[in-house]
Amino acid sequence: MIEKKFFEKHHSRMVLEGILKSALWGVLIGATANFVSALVFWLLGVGGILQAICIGLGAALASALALYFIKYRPTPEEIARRVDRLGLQERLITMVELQGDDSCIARLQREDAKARLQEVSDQKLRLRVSGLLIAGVAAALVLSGGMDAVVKLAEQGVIPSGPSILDPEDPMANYIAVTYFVEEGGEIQGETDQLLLPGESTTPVVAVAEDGWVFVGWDDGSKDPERYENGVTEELFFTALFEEIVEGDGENAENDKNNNGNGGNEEGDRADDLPDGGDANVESDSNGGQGDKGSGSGDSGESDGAKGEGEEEGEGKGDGQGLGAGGKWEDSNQFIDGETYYRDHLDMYYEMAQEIFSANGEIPPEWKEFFEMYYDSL
Amino acid sequence: MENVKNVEVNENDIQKFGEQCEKIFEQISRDVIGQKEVIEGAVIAMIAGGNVLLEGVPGVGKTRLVRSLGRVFDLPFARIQFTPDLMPADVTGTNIIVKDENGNSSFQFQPGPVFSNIILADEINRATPKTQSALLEAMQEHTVTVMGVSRKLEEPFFVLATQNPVEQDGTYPLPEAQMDRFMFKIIVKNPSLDELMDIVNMTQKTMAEVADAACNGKDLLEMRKTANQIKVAEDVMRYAMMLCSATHPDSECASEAAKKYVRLGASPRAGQALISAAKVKALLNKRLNVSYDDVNSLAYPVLRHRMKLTFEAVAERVSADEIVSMIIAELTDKLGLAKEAGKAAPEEQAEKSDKKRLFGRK
Repeated sequence: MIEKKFFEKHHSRMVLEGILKSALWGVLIGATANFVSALVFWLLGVGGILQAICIGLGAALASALALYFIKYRPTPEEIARRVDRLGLQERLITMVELQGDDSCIARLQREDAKARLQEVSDQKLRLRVSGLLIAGVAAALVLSGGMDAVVKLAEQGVIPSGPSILDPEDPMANYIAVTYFVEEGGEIQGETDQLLLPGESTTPVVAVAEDGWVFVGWDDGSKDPERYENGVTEELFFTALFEEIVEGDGENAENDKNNNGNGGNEEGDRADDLPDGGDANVESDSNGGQGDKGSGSGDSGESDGAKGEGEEEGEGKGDGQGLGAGGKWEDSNQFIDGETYYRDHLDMYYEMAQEIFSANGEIPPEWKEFFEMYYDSL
Repeated sequence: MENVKNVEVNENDIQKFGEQCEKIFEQISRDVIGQKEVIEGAVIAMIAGGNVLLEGVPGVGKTRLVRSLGRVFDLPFARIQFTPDLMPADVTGTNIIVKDENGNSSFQFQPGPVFSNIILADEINRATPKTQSALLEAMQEHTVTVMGVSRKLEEPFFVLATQNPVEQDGTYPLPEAQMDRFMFKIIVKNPSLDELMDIVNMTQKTMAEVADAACNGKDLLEMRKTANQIKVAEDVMRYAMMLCSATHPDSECASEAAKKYVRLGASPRAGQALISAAKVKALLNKRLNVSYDDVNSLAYPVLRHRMKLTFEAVAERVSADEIVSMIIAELTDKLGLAKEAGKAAPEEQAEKSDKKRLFGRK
């Protein structure tokens, strides 16, 4: 038998080479497994980078061990063949084959081989690793690292995940629709259908009534004809509501008035007392603001209109709202000086005028002027 | 070889082998100047028990070499000058009618020149195929059959033939069967300038052959027996057989060169010859095992005359030696046998320098 120490140095060298080759193949296989698993995880949208790395490491370790013990663990024959290539001219492989031969020539051959082996340093036995293998390992590492980065970035939402690429969604799916509807009697100026990303705001729209109609508010209770939505997070639908201005007799006016809250009645009484009640038929706009302030009803304008008609017919019915009612909503008839609500003044003057009238007095000329000015403005 | 028994050799036999080889080369060099590789090839073939075909232009010392070999080995030597009118009986011998004392006639076998230990078949390709074929049995079986009676030739027996590659008029190319019976075909080249000067100087003094016997027939058989004990690793044996098989264009391990340039590859005799000769060569190099280098260097004389080339090879002037080189290169590459660069042992480096000239390789 060949003594172990005979091949010891060369054996160590070959073992090192075997380990190196096994490790490189293991890294190649592990990196490939990591790449494939990361790719699958990314495509399916399951798992994560940690699992992919674990799979890669497991594959690398298992394959490296398997390859070493199955393929790269050096045998005496392999060592002999390699060392022979250092110029020993097949002395060692012959010696290994003759290890059970006790003939004289086998013994002499063995001695010859041993003597020649002493002349060959184990350092001359270069570690031979295929350049192609090294290149393959480098490529596999780059690919697997890149795929891991893809999985990580997909996890963080920086890049789309595999399923979203394989089965792309509607690009508008993330948008939220805000829609402004209008029923009969008016229109909406501005974009009625708006698509927004969550958190965005709409552009303003304005509900404008047609002739013979009046805007009465939005279906969500908002009374401001101009509106926009801030920080939209869900789909929204708004409908602008308009009411037709109805021209009718006192009864109608009375009905309307009754439907419009208490304030209407109160003001209707006042209208009866207006010195120029007949003029009350002049259309006067009323709006939500007025309703809010006075009677709490936005419908007073229409009642006022009815009242005006009533005034003209001498029935003297109507309500105080008639002072500003019966007409279209306009900015100009909402405020006197931009700050003071006209009805506040009107109420005040109206009560004073009533007292004067009850005392058979005459109202001051400046009051008359005020009333005339107001009506002119209408 | 058939007389060689596998009796275990000892250290003395190996030592004796080396000493005798040194003597043989020393004595031959007294008669033949230069031609080192030719001499080595011829000696290897003789020790291995093979026949040799020496091919060279006239005057390069072919006949002189053969005569020297006969003298050095101290063996009976017979020269047959092959001519177109040479008859088989002139080679093998024939039965002649003789009368005894009583006047009765009877046939008596008169041995031809083939009944010698060393036969010089000079210009063998000038004889007719019929006469050439007279040597077939002697070369392979070492027997001669005349008139139905087979007679065994004395061992050792060698045929050393010469032929001129240039003068082809009136010649008869040797049949494949006979070519295959030559272990080696050695190309004898013109001597170098220095060798030529030495040759002229020597022959100005005397034309006589001065080589002395270095050994005898028995020693030669002993040397053959010793060489036969040399070990051949399985890897090397397989490689040698692959080399032979690769010359066949239709074999499983046919080389690309053979597929293109070879019509008929080497016979199994080539494999036998390669291994037998490689063992001798290993011993000559004081090595007790056969190496790939031994096989590679001997592949040229063993294979060059055993391959029938295609028309393509002839048209492209691709020689048999070039084809052998291609096959060796292809096999070496295929089996990953290339040596690690710069790691050749001193002995191998010395061999490398000689290898190019070995056996007159073209």
